[in-house]
Amino acid sequence: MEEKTIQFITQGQPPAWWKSLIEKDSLGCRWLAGKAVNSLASVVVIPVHELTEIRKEELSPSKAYVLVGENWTAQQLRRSLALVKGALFLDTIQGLDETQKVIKVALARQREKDSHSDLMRVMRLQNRQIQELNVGLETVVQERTVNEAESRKASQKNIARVREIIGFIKELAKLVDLADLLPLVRRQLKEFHSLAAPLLFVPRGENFGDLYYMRGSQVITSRARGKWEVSARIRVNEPSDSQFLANAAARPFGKIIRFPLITVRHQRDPSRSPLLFFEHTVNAGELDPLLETLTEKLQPVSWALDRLILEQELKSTSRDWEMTFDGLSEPIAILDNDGRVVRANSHWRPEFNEVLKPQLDHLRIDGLLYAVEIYPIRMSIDAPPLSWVVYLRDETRSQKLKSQVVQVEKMSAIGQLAGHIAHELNNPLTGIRSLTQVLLSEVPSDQQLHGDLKEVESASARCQGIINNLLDFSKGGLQHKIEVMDLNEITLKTLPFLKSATGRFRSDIQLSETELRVKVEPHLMQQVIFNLVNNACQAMSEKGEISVRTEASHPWAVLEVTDTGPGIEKDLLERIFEPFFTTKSEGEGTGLGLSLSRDFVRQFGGELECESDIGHGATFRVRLPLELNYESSDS
Amino acid sequence: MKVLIVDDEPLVRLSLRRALVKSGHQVEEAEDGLNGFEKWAVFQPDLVFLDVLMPRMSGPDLLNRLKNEGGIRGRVILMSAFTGQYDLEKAQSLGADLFILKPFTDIFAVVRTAEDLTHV
Repeated sequence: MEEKTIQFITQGQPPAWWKSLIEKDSLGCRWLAGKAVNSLASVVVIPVHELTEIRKEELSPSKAYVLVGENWTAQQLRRSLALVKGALFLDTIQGLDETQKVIKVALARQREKDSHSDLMRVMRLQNRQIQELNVGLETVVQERTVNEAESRKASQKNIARVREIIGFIKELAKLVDLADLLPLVRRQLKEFHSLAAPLLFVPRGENFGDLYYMRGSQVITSRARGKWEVSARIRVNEPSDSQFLANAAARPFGKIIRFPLITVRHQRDPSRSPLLFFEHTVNAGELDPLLETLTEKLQPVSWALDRLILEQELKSTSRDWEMTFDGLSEPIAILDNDGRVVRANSHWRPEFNEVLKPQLDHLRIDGLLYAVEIYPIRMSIDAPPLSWVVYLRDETRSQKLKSQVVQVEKMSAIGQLAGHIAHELNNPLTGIRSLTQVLLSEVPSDQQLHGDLKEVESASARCQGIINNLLDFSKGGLQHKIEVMDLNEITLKTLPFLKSATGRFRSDIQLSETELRVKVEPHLMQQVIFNLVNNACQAMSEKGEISVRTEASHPWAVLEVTDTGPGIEKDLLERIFEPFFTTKSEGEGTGLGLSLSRDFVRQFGGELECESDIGHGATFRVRLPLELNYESSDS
Repeated sequence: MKVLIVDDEPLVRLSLRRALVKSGHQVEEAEDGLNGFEKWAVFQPDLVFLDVLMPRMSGPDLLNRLKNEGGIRGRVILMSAFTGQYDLEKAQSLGADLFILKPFTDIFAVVRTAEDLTHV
């Protein structure tokens, strides 16, 4: 136990009992005496008469006080107690032992006080800690509150940014035209005042591409040529970029930010990826954050661009294809396996669908002759056809030319043949006629034999005439010579060949009395007359009359061939002159007779027309220019 | 006069012979050029009717051969059915005197033409 100090307050000497007490000390204390309260003292013993000397402030509550007096009155006690609260009282009369006891009590009380004050101190300490803790908590709470507000603000900002990007993506998705991209990007970046309107370059080939740029609100496209290096990284302030743009857009450019739009298709080969250019006035220090923002904002542009370029290429490819398809001058169609037309070019006519049948190799429609060519479309050689390409090759002209060639060849062959026949027949015929003439001269004219010989002579004379005509007619196949001839003469030379055709019908031949001098190829003109008369006969199934008339109707020589057949319907009147138009059954006619005849007549500067009354036959009229100056030029 | 007829058509030869004999002329016939060449040398005709197209030797070939072997003796009338290919000019260039187109329209006219030719 620590040593306690007991002090006796006195202005003078402590009394004898105090000294006895110290000598008798069984408490193990230090004993002091002094005028004022010692701070070390635990128990302060104060004689009552000394109380007045002590100021109340000196009395620390942590000490125990013992008031000493003799014969305490009640008044004294009350007054003292008022002065020193909680003090013990000691009456020196009661002896040393009693004094000792009181001091002990005082010591005990002081110890109690000590422990109290310890407790109090701990409690105070704890209090303070709690207080400090409280304060800390408050700070934390306060800090937390501030943080939370800030983070809410931040996430709201994030959401706004994402919303903005989504909105941008939506707008991008709505884009139809590549050119509309630029105004959209400009709007998206309008907060960056140091960036000028964007320019877009889309490579189209090895060393050329399209540059889209804005003039006011208009988007202009120009084809740009040159070489450009592309990497997947943003390039800034590269003089070659400024130069490239200056060449393409024909105006000077300052500092440039080049932003590659690496689309999905160009990830492997970024050299063909599109480029966005911005002319800018950004300071070097502000560049990095700006580029970061640009990267974020322009990310969706690549996606949209990929789609737009693909669509554009697709459109232009399909347009190219369509133009090629329609540009072909002959009808082409794609048919499905059921024969339905899936796609056809502009020359395809709906009528073709109707007449198109499998195994059809030629198609005759409206005076045109088509060779039908069908090719299957397969995914691979072994695969069954998916569809069919039907190609109608116009053979009208070539067929007509071929027919003309065949006609000419035929005529030349007939010419040669006729030449041989004429020679073979002429010799015996000469003999027959000549011998008959000799016999006639030997037989008296009154005999019947003379008359019979006369018949033989005239028959052989007719035969000679026929052979001569045949020679003239066939000669034309060998030599094409325009001559001035009498149309009547040509007609008369032609009619004998038509006897087998005209035989069944009544014929009425009325030739003009005057010569009808025309400039023609005689054998071709003979063919025209032959065709017209032959057609007229074929038009009449049973009885009828065929008339051939010629007349001069200045400035024309006119030849008319009229039949009394069923006539020709009005809407067919022009079509009968179309090549391959025929009403005759297969094998009977080529459908070329009238077409070629009209061609020939037109070659001679004339015209071939037809008039018809249904039920009253038809008239074909050839008009040829009359050669009026013939006599004078001949003489 | 002595007339030689060179023609591969028997009827032509017969009719000419009958008409010529009727007018008092002496007539020999040959059915082709080669035969005609031989008869020409033997018979020594004043006039020869010569066809163009004949087997073995044609009329023009016969004339050429005669020209090469001492000349054509007597008058020659070339006859042909082929118009255009032969005419008087061509016939004369071959050594003939006249060209007559076959078929004849009048046999007596032909005989008169022949007589006129030899009297010149």
